[in-house]
Amino acid sequence: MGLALGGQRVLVVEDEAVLGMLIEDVLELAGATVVGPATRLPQALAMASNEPLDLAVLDVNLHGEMVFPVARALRERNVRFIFATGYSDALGHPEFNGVPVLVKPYTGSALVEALAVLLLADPAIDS
Amino acid sequence: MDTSTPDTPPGAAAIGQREFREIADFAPVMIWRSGLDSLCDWFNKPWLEFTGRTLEQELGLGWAEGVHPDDHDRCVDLYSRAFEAREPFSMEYRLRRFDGEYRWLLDNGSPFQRDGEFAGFFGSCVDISFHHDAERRQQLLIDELNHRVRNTLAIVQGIARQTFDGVGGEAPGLFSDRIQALARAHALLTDAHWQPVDLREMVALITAPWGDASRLLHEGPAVMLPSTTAVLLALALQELCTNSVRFGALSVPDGQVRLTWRCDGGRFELRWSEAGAPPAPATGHRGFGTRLLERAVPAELRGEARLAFTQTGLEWHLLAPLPRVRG
Repeated sequence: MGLALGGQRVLVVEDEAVLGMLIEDVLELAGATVVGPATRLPQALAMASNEPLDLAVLDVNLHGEMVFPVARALRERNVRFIFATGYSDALGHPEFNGVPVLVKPYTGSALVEALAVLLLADPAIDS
Repeated sequence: MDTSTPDTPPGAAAIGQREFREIADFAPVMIWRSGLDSLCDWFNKPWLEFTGRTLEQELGLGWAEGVHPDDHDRCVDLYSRAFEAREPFSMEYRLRRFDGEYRWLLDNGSPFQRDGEFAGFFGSCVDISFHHDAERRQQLLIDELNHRVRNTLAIVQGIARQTFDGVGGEAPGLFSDRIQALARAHALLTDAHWQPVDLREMVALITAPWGDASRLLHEGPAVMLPSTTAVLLALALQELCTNSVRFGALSVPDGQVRLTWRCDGGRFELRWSEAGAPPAPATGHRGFGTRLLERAVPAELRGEARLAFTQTGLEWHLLAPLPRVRG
């Protein structure tokens, strides 16, 4: 069996630098190429709009700003993504009801698995 | 020129007086008035209904008898000073209600004039106990949260000790030191209510366990750091300290470290510079510390950083725009 995320370009948006490093390690071990980590909204938005991407992990709260504009930019390009958040309840954002949410602290394998599931789901969306 | 007032119908004076009386007694706000001698000479009906006392009881300084003993002196003092300066004031104090319960009031006072001359003060009060309670509850929650963060870090450390039990090598100690540095940075930020903190304080806190000024000199102006930046920089400095104690200038008796920084025209420059360190161990390993110092910190500060091994020891040079502090 190949690497779970082999060959995938994954955008990482995370404002805590240490967590960003951890996510980077985990994703690279799973075969992915990491874009970022972006720690601020403008930077994340630029990457989400311009970089070639397959998947994304979005921290919901970036230094007090919500990541949703980045999510919209990704959706526009049919790039699938998951949210990661320190808040224990749901996002409370109807626009992103179907998006998987990882609640911090999560394990590396939970992250890889959540992204791998996105790859399996509905490949038609990429075409 | 016609000096009559055609807009005002006959009998208006009497109606005006009655309407003013109604405003004074039925507006849902407590009103007081003081004269030239600073003593109160009138209270409206809502005030008297609130305190459950008669006008005669409240007159002069009688009203102050109902002020909470803990607030009394501050309240009377602030009023006297504002009165003397003839300046508006705004203060909060507890006043005893008719049922004996002390309620928080916001009292706004302002001088008024009669025939162009200062004639005393008017004041209006509203009950703000609800807001006060909400604020207090919020502070309690924040205190509790801070307490739990500290506790959680201590628990993480305890779990690590158990988990690493019997595991040799440096990992357990390094991990513990990193958590300690994180906990210290958090404590500093907690004390500052998560407002920006001074780099000088943060540096003193992180470097203290690793050497005094004769070995580890730190020097620079006050620089305010937002909380996220402060935590990250604390972790990075911790890496420099422990690295130096293990391999660098602080691992030998005569080695020295200078940590200096300056601000120059919106630029922030920080330099960690070791002297007298033994030759650097040949290692291609780019660990946690290296990544923090070379990538994470400069990315957070939107600047650049260079980590180099010189003949005298490790050098770390950080150049960035002066950290922006919101609000």
